[in-house]
Amino acid sequence: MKKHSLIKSFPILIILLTIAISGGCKKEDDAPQTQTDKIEFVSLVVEKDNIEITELTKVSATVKGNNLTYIWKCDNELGVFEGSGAEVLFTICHGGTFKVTCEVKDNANNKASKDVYVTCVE
Amino acid sequence: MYMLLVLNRLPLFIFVAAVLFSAGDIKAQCCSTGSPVGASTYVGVLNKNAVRAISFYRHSFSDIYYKGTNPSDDAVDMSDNAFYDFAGLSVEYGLSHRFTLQADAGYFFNKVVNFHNPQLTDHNGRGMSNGTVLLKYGIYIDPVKLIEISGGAGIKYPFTRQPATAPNGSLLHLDARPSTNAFGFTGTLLLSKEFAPLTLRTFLLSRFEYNGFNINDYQTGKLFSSSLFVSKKIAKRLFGIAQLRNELHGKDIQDGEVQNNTGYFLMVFTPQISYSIAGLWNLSFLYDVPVFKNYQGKQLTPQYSYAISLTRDFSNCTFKRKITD
Repeated sequence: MKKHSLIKSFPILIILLTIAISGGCKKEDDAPQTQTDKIEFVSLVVEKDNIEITELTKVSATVKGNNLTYIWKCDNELGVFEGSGAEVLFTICHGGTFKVTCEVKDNANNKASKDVYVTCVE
Repeated sequence: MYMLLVLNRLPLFIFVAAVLFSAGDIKAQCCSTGSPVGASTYVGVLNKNAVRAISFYRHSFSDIYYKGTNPSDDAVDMSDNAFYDFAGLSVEYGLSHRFTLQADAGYFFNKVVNFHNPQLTDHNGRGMSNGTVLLKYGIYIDPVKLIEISGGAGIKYPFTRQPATAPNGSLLHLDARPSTNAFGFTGTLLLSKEFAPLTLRTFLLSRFEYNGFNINDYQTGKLFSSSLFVSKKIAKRLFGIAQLRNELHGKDIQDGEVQNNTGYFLMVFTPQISYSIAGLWNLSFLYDVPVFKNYQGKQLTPQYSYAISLTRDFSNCTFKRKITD
């Protein structure tokens, strides 16, 4: 009789064991990343920081890290970027001085960013 | 006979034009290719439980830069042209004899900016524009004199707060984005008078839009537009409509700073033809011709636009209430 109830509860034990193991795995995922995954943003350089409207200028980022993704932003919504990656072209159809930001992140979500300024003359 | 009829109405058209051209101080948006305006002339309040659905498609094309009231003579421009294809849907429901609830939404199949510089990839945005929910109230309705004065107030809402991005991950050019990605509110006022024996209807529709800031602290300027419509039955089931619309667009603001090449005053003449089917369906075609432009700074301006709309009335429809009072 006792043996029969053990057999009956066997599937429940397996489920509990599976949950316990999977919980353990999650803990390992949350472990801190190793030092080699960190990003070092070396420099952000604009080829020409004074441009005329519709003129393009090259902006280059030098970053140390693995599996990097580059996000280019301008503090004015009208800024236009051409290309992707570590080197892009920038232009804007408005006069003024604008901040161009390059944000870099890797697969481990480590992030780094730098700004440069471009002045556009109308 | 028709010529005589047109000549008879000429003073009225001149008067309408004069009123709109004298619309006072002119101020006005960068690279403004305009926003899709509905293609329906059915704008009043509905009877209780009546339903109206309006669908429309609009194509707009812009290729001339303006500085002030004249085309720019600059040798090089940022864009060669810009255009969009937009489909909109508006559903209205008569909550009571005086209150009508209206919901609008639309989708840009494309919103393209063709850059002049061949090194730049053209930007093409697509997606939902802002939605609107509006409550209209019949302030004064006289069914005998065929006069209606109604006002409405509502909110504009974005389907996403995240501005659209280009394939390289950077933000799309402002003119290529389908939505302002910001909340706002809107108000309308309608004055309508029908002359039944002449099968003529005139109405003035004014609309105000206030846009909030998007997540990047960019605010699209306020918009005030007024449209004067004259609608006349020209044959059995066929109506001719002339519309004069002015749009006064305030300047955009980024991080508290007013943007130079934004803000405009635009006046558009829109001839429209409308065909009524069995008093329930209505098919309309209209063509927008800009007749006066005054753009702040230097901006790309709309050249022409056309729209086709299909309206369906469910006037006799009454909904069964699930819960009885």
